[in-house]
Amino acid sequence: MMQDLVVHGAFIVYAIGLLMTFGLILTWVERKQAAIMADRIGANRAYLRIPFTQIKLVWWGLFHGLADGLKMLLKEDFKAASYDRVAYAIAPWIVFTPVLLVFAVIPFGGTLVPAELFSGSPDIASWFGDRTYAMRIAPLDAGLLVVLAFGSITVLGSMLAGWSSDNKFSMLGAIRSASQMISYELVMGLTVLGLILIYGTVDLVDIVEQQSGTLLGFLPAWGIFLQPVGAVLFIAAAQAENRRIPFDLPEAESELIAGYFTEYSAMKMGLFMFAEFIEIAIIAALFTTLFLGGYNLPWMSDAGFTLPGGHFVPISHGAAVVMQMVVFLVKVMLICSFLILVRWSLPRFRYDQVLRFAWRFLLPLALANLVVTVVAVWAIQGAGA
Amino acid sequence: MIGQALLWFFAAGALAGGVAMLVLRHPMHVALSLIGTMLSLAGIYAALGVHVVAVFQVLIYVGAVMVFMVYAIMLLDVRDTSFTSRYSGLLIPGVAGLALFIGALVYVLRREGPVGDIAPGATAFRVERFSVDFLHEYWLHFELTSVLLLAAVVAAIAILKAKRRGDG
Amino acid sequence: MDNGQLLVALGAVLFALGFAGLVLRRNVLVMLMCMELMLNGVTLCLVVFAQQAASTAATVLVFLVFVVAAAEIAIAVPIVLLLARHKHTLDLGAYTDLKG
Repeated sequence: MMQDLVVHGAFIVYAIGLLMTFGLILTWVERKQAAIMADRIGANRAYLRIPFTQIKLVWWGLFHGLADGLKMLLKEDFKAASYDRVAYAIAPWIVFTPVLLVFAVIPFGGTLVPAELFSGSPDIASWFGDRTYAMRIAPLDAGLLVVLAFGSITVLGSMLAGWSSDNKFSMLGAIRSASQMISYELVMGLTVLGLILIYGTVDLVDIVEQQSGTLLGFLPAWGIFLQPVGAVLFIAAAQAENRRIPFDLPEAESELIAGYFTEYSAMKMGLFMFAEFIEIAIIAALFTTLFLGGYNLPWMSDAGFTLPGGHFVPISHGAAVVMQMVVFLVKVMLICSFLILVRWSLPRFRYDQVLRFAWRFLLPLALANLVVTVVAVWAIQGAGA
Repeated sequence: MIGQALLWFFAAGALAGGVAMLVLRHPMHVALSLIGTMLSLAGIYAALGVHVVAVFQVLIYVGAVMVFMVYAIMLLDVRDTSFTSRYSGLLIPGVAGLALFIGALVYVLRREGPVGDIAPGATAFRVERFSVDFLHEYWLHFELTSVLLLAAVVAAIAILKAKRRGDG
Repeated sequence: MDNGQLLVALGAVLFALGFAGLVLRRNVLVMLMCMELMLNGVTLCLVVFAQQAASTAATVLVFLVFVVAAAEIAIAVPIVLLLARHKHTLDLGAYTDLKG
């Protein structure tokens, strides 16, 4: 039992560290990528001065994130004259916590065999015995359902934040946010139904394991090649669920001041912003797991590389684990960059356009995708059986 | 042992939420305590090993039913009289009746003998077994439930249309 | 007191609390929420018995109870909101049209 505790503790530390780092780095990536896309330099004024010298480290604007964090912590926590104390206090936590909890079911690596990892020192290896651990935190076989369940809790947080602020703009933002998030949550659930049908499971670990082979001999067996329409619909619905531009009306900066978190200042506002940026990473991790093969590199299995000619290259277990974790992180970063690209390219939808897009465009397309998938699976399995 | 402690913790949470529902003044606070009760119940289901039911509890009850209730409460006016005078006229007989009711239930429970023990987390109930059994044996119930949901959607739209017609 | 007895007693107490709330509170939406509490108490008992009998049928029944509860709320809350719009209050004392 101690061994399980140690390994799972290491996984939890890794996951929380990863998500916090992603939250911080994504603020910098967003600024820099927006600047590159707009052919300008971006924010590069914050610097650290090495003490006793005149050397100023700018590091391409990385310290702006640090400056933002310090600003959030040290600002005056200004409270309005009348507000609902209980709901105002817990709303940021209701938005922040489920976003972190979704990562508990996402597999961020392959299988870890600690005995092989520590094969250099025999007493550590014998303490672990022959235990194997799948690299995810919670062994729930209802993975996708857990993701949808926790995604639906964040709606409550944004509604409570807007309502408890005793401010008409916040209330409008809360109502818009609730309607938008409910609609797009439904669409998100429907877009992955085709994928669930093909893979036959809602367990994210199983879905990633089934994406480890090849299709037609040369394509990696990723979900995006089996469900291209589903992938596009999923990323659109997820971007809307996260309330990012182009679906940004609940916090429309030029219309509603700051929407449902107008009356929040200092660290509570920081929690909202942080939750939004961590959710970008979570959406990217979900997309990677469902459609891009998770931690799988083409032609790689847990033991080594099986190249197309039939040649087999074995690699050590430590190298395999590290390679799989790095592949997962690289894929997540690529999808985050894509989400930031979409955010800085498109103008904002109007509120009725947002809802019409969900109910009259994405929902019928998701259902049509499901129908086509059902017919294709039936035809292929009918031909095979 | 940890499973047992979790079970007691979530049971205490559910009870606290239930009692808070009777006592709190503002309907939004009542809704928050009901959400707390439902999440504690989901924790109990997960500690018992039926995490399928726990996920459905969070997804359907907290994520849909309570979101709808909170949305409706958000649109209320704070000057409503039911916010200041919480209880109907039957407060004293109501509380006495509650005590009698709980006493009667616990007495019947004690008299019926042991319900039977469940070790927390003993048998994990898998999604696959649930869904296969559901759709192999109870698919008629599934289809009838979808007809019920369709009737609910039609009824909601009819209420909306009635409201529009009433406003002229 | 073993676990099964504790949880069924908890379900019974939640049912009793919901019933008391239905009788005691004046606000119609709070009464609806107390009905949901009653339903949750009963569902807890159902899940306990399902887990003891290791029966899939009972778990399916729990799932169907959730779905029916959601459908019921979807109709009840708009009806209450229409009523509130008509009477301009959610206080139960104002809904006396059928009295006498």
